[in-house]
Amino acid sequence: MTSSKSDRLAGSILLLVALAWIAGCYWTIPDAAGGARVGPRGFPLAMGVMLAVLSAILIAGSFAGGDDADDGEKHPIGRTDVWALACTFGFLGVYVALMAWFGFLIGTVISTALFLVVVLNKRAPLLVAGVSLGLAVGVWFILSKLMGVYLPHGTIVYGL
Amino acid sequence: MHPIVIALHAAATWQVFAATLFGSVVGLVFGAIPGLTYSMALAMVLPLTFGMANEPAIAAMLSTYIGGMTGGAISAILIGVPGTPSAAATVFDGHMLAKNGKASLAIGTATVAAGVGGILSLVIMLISVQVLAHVALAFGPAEITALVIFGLSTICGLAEKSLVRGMIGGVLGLMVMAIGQDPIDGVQRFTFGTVTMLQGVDLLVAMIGLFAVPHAIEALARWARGEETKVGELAAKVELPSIAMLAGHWWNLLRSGLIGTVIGAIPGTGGPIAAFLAYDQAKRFHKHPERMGKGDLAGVIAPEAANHAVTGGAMIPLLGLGIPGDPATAIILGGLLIHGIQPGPMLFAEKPAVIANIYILFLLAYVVVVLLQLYGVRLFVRALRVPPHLLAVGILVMCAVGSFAIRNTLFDVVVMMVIGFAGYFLLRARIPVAPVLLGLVLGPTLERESRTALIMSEGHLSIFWTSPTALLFFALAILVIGGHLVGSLRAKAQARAQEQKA
Repeated sequence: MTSSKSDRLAGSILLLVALAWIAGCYWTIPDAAGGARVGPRGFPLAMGVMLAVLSAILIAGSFAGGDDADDGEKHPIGRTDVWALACTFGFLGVYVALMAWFGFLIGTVISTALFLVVVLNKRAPLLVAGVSLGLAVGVWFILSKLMGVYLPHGTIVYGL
Repeated sequence: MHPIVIALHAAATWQVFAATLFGSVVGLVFGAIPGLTYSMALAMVLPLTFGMANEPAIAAMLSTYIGGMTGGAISAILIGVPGTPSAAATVFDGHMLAKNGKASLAIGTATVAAGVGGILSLVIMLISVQVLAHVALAFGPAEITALVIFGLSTICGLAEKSLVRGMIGGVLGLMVMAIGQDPIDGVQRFTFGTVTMLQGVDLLVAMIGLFAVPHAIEALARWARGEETKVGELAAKVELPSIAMLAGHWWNLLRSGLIGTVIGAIPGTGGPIAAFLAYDQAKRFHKHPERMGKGDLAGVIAPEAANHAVTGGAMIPLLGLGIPGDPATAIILGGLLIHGIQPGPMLFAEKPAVIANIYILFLLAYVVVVLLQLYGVRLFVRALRVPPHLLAVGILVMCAVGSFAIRNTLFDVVVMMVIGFAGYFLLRARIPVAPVLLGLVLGPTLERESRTALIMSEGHLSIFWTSPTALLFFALAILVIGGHLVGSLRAKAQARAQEQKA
């Protein structure tokens, strides 16, 4: 995808976000009460309008030229990018669920080990065990034990 | 006996040194880990000081505050993720230096700049504590609104090639901070009826999502493509900036220190604004502004000197009038009150030794923090040798833990994921994330102060142009934007002329 096409796509998505935001402002936020000039709706509405205008400029710029126009560069989103995106959010999703169920320690050990084996294709047991256990216990000891930071307690295994 | 002598005597105990060392280590560790802040560190250290005498307690609090501010640069430089919002501006050039194999020089320079900025702010605090506090306190909502708009004008400097993209980023940041309860009337905005969204999006959660998650995605993608950077043995050398090099940056150091001290003295502003303003000014005054953002030491010195000078500036209204300028100084104020110290004008008259003690402990904290950071540079640089794809796993774990720890809810981890996804989209769309952060930081203050000003003037906009201070800040903002536009037009004209010649 060239820069101008990328700009058109990004501008269109941002324009849609802005329009949805403006609609949300009108429908869900009450206007100024008691004769005040600017109410709770004013600031977010102004930001929504600004985003819509700027997105329109971005789209127009992709057709008309200027520094937002096609710079001739390609901006592809390859398979590896999609893979990395899926791996990152897959890991975080699994990690949140495991922490909610089993608490920080078990959740971190399992999700990190899974990530190393399944995603990063690490097969050395020492590396997988060392990284996952070391990371979990290290963070738990420093934050929870030394500094008293509250870490998630699982609903299934309370206290770990 | 002179108050300074009494204060020196009280400070020269092993308890004070132990408390300073403890606070510095805790602060540095919290500051270095993205998502954990010095405010959080202070909140946790504060209960530990209850059983201490006044001097060690003050030493522990001040060193935690200063250590936390300093530690933020470590992760900003090494992994491109600011440990604290104040270190966000350090990422641009600091991380580029790290990528160019100069991480140790970047950390060394950042540490020295931090020490110089902090001690400079102490000197200014000593000289002008009452005068500057008086000026800062005279700022009303109209003046603060104008100051914030001036701060937002620095988006021009952060917008890279396109002002439109920079402004889109800034507006997106302002929009995100509008989510939650409205600051004046308490009306719910975009909360979808959920209690968890009432407090809105936490700045740190947003910051982690914006900076850390896209970084982890990129690291994994590079590894999958076989383009992972490997750091050799040479990168682990400790490198302090030379005296000559520092002397070459004297004006940058002085200017950034002054910006940080003045901004720090204005309640409700703080380190990020000071750092971005100083960075912008460093770029403006640079002989080769095109080098900024590509690994120039001026881009490390300016934000680090400025955000550390904020620590001295923030102490001015705290000590002079008993008013905290930011969450960290609010916690320190609470700690001082617990120890029977009531900051304010009367403290200067009744207990000058306590004031002298705070100055000495402030200086001691800077010395210890700087030494610890310099001593620890070898260890920090070693972190670069960890393969980035493995580091990405650690970063993602810390992202989740850091997001959770702020308000103890997994909901914030989910919010961080959503913002991380949005951050990656912006990265691919070539929309810079730094203006988003600026919008996030300044958004609540801009809305609160502008609406308060309008309420005070019964809706008349004239409140913004009848104040000379507000007018000054507006004029500065127009100058910054105008200067950027003129610069862009000149650059385009030059490019066209070169094309015609070719």
